[in-house]
Amino acid sequence: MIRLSVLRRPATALALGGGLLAVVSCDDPATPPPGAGDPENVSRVTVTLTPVGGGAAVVSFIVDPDGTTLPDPPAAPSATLTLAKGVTYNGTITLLNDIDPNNVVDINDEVEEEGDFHRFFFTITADPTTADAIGLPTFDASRGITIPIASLNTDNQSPAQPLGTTFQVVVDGAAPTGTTTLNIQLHHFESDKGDGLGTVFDTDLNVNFPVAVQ
Amino acid sequence: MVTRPRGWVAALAVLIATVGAAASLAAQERGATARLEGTVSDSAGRPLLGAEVTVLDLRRVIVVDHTGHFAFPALPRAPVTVQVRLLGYAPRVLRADLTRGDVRLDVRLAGAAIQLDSIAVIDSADGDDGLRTERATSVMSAEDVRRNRGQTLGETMKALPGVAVIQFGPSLAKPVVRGLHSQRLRVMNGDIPQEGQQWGEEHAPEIDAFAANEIEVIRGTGFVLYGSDAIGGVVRVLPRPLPSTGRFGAEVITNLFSNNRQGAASLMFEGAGLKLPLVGRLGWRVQGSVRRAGDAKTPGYYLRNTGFEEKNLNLSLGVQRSGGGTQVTYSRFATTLGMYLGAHVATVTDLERAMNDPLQSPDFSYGINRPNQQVSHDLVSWRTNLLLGRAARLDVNYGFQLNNRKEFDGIGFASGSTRPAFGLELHTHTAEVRLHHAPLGPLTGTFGVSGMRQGNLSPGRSFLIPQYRIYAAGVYGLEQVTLDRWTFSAGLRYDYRWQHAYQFGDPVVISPDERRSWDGLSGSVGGTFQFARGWSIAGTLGRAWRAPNVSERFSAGVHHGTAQYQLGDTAISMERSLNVDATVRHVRRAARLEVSAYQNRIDGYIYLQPFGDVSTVRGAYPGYRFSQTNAQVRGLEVSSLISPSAWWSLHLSGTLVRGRDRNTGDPLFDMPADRLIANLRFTGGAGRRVTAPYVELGSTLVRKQDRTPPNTVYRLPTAGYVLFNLEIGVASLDLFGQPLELSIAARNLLNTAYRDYLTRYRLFVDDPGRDVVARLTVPFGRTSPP
Repeated sequence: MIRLSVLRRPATALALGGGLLAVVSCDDPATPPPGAGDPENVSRVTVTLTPVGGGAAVVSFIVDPDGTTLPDPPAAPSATLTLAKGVTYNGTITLLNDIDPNNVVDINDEVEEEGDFHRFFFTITADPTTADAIGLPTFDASRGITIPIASLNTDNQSPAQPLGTTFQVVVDGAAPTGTTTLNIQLHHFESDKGDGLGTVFDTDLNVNFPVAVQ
Repeated sequence: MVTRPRGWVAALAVLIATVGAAASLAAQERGATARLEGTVSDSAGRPLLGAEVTVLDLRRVIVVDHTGHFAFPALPRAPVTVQVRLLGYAPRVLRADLTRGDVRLDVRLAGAAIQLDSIAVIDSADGDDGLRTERATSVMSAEDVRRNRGQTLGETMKALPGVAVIQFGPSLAKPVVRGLHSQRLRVMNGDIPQEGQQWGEEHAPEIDAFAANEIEVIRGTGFVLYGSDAIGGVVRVLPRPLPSTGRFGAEVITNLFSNNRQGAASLMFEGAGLKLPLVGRLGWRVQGSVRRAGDAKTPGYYLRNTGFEEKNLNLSLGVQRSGGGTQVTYSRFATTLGMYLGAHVATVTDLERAMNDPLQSPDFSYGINRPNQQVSHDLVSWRTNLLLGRAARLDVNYGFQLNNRKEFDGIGFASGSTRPAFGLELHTHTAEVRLHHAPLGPLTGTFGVSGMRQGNLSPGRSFLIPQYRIYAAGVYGLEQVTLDRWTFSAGLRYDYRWQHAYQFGDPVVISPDERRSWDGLSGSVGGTFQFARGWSIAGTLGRAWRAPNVSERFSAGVHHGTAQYQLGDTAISMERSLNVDATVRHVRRAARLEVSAYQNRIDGYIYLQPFGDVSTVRGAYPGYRFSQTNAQVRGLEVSSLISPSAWWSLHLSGTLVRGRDRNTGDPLFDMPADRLIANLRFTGGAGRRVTAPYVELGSTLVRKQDRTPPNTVYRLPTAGYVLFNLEIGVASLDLFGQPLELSIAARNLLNTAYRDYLTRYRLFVDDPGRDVVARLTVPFGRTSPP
């Protein structure tokens, strides 16, 4: 009698029910596993240029609200990068997945961890649709703006090779006033990055920011 | 190639080549007994080792030896009923009258193309040589498979008429039958339908090439026995039957391929020496195989990261008695295969760069790095056959398959992660009950019920297809009438399919929670007519339908390797096909000819249509959306074998496929180019140590494929090409008492550079160059019939 009454206790019912559910659902794909989704989905690319020696930072970002896996195109860049003549800027590029505001993923961490497989390219160009052997648009030297390769941060290879999550933008004192485009690409190598100038890679980023010199 | 019953003709079916007076004298000397002996061979006259000859009245069984010979030295002098049976062939039942003395029976068995064997139908001993097969069917016998076994199952069958393969390097070959593949083609692994994400372009059938004993390709539509969705055809991979008599045997097979420095070996042990009380004699087999290959080589360079490896296992246990039998099988297929590094591209600019400056490696490597696929396929199957009264038979099949597919990619930033880019786990239960009813005069038939429960889990990082649950059931009936020169058949099947696709757990909802069902009828009518001696014409009219798969409805993402952004469409409904085909056959002693023509109208044909560029922060992708149109595939297949004398033969086969979008008039994508194969073989006779040595010269001519749909910039047409092959071998070589089967073949003998239209790497690189293949088979002991 005492034993039978155990069956009427809610805890037992729960245990039995839970056990049954576990058995029934053991190969039932009812709930997607937690963490499903692509955390490397880039939804925001931000470029921040801070003048060396102080001054207000110049910021522009591109947002792709549904990320790289869904077809809606990214929005236009939020602002033109307005640069002053004769100034050198320290630049950073930040990649985020902020599709879920409660779960923002800083993708830069991953890029820097895998610096030996990535390289950023910054090209001032008049026509971003051109592409050379490694997909970079034609450099427009007439704008007086350069991003020296030596200013890029490096990876962990030996000898170290450019990575480019930080860089410098040098604007010549005699740079002409006007607008141009900064093309930023991220090349991702499966193996053998070498100097990062190889032709076998995935393009992980290819964006254009308007630049103006005043 | 199914022999059909000719009806209850009294006291029929004995091919008597009586031994004459000597025999009857000998019989008299033996007293009240007589000798029954003879041979069992296939329709080409080759002895069928292991065929079982049963004197039904006395329940005495003899197994035919390697010369095809059997003998019952002392049977009562009375009429007896003799059944001759071998799995893979249509069984025959004959009457022999021993009243007057010894009888000789030379029996020919015809391969059973359709599982409609009627066990106890009295028949004449003449084989019909396949003249009564309704559909265009190609059968690769065990010997054909051993001689042509390629690096994969798909490659093994690619030279059959009407068959082509989509290739991603030599490691991945997806069969294409009459221009249709993936879920329009049903692959049967024994009695179990193979379920393994076959919607994927780069997902090949997960079956060990060494486990295939015979391969049968049935082209056409409306197969009630195999489901509603086989719109292109059915590929049956038939395993070796278990031994049923007390023997222990083993077999070692080695295949070496020079092009990608591959070694492959299979080891098999089998026997039937264990007799259990109440159960009977237990047949068993253990077979395992391994394969390891490095980078493939084109005439100019290596294809980096195209190596692969396989480890497979196959265990079988079974009992076969006069009343029926049961067999249980466990098999495991596991492979890691590299995807050519130079084809792994993302955006349009990446693709153009890879096409203009393809990755051509000067060095060879066995390394398998990223990107790669790791696939395993576990299968447990149970099969029971019960012989019921009056020659009826009940078959019950059950199978459970677990397909685990992980693809390691470079997408995103965390390529160093050990978690796969996407992973899919597919659990499938299938069950079937099939009744072959007792023949009613010339009428034979089958009824059946089949069911499937399938679940798909996506534990990988990114979304490819949603998780889902599918329940499907089908009920069918098929009847066939065999008259003197005519046969007719009609089959009907009803299928119901219910699917629950689960919402993808991401803040940006890609696939909603959805329940849907589809149902429909499929079937066929057909017949054959032998209008002259050695000639027949066969025709079928078949109807089939296919529910859209989850990839066609829910895809959202980049397909690497083609830089396509693929979007599914939930509005896509089922495909319906109506197929008409006709086959004319001619069989003579010195020649065989088979010509098939067909037209397959597919309404609601699902395909990828470009819709414009998709722009993301990674760059631009050409966007493709799954769409439907009305299509038509027509074609012609010609196959002939000319063998006027025993020492030479010529095999010619040609295949033409024309696929068209009926709405726009454009060609369909992915139709194989026209092909002609010619092989000339010289065969020697039997010597003391060497039996049937042969030399074969072959050539494959492929016409250019310029029938490509417009607006698909990257579907570049391919030029035509000619390849030559040379093979030298011996059917049996006696080395210190041990028989061996040995051959060396040079495929693409002249190391020609070419690109086949269905090779997915053709946008970047050539197909592989010369491949020297050495094949060795060593049987030990008395193995069961190959």
